[in-house]
Amino acid sequence: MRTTCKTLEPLLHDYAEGWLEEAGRARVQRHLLRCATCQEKLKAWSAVGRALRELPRLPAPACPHGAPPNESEPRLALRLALAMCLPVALLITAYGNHWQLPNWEQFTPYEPLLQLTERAQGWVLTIWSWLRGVL
Amino acid sequence: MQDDAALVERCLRGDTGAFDALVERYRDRVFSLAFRILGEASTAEDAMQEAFLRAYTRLPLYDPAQSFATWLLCLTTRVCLNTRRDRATEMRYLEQAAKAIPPAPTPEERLYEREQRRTLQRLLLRLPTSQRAAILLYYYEELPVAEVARALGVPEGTVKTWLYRGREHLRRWLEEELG
Ligand SMILES: [Zn+2]
Repeated sequence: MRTTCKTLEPLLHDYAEGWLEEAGRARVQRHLLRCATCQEKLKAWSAVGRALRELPRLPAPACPHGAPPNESEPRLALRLALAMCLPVALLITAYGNHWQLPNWEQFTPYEPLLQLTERAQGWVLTIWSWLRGVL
Repeated sequence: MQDDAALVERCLRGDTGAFDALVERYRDRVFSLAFRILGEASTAEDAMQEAFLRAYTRLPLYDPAQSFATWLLCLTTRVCLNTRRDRATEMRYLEQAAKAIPPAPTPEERLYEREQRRTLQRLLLRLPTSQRAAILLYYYEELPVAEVARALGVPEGTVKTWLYRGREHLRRWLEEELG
């Protein structure tokens, strides 16, 4: 009986989630009819699932690190605009130095541009918070 | 109130106010998920900011066939999983986090349930990070297995195994702690 329960356990989980086909469902149901242990486990699992679903939503902090609202705090859009400036400047510098356009046939601009942008945002935000500290 | 699709549309046309509206709508949800994955408020807040920045830059890649909420939560999860932390730091957060999470009781809630919920929040942090992320996306955010798999970059079978192991661990630990 013990080994049956152990081998059946992953199947029992799939049963609890409703992922089983007819044959698997019947097999689990047959076992459940004569196994109180697995019945208990099934009940406990759905209790865990329910408790997870009912975890409360937490309020996000209103401002960065609990600081009070500040008029001089730039809006997200402005910060994003600033963050975009650096990669654009980098690209202009890179292509400007060679005085030629890239080979557009082989150039897939989106992914590398995005990666560069995302990396650059980090720097800009760091510089920005440093600037705020100084000013 | 406009639906997400309309706000995304406005945002793609260059209306930045529309993005602020999306941030306002989802910040609690994104923060809660990040907090439950990372277990610590200031790290979760950083992850939230990073997730919104990424959402903004990647908005042109968003496929409107998928719900915006799902897309954003998957993106948030990936940001959280990339927040690299060593295990020792993570364990240190564990106890702090348990104290910091409000129990948020409802009047009709029985004492046992409240206790169980509080314990569950703490035990969640004991799971390996990707297992925890899978559990949270599937049960807490109620995303389908396919979406969870896509978010975590693993096959659906792996997600199912993580869900099974994670839930079994939680069941056993809860039984040990609450009897
Ligand atoms: Zn059994």
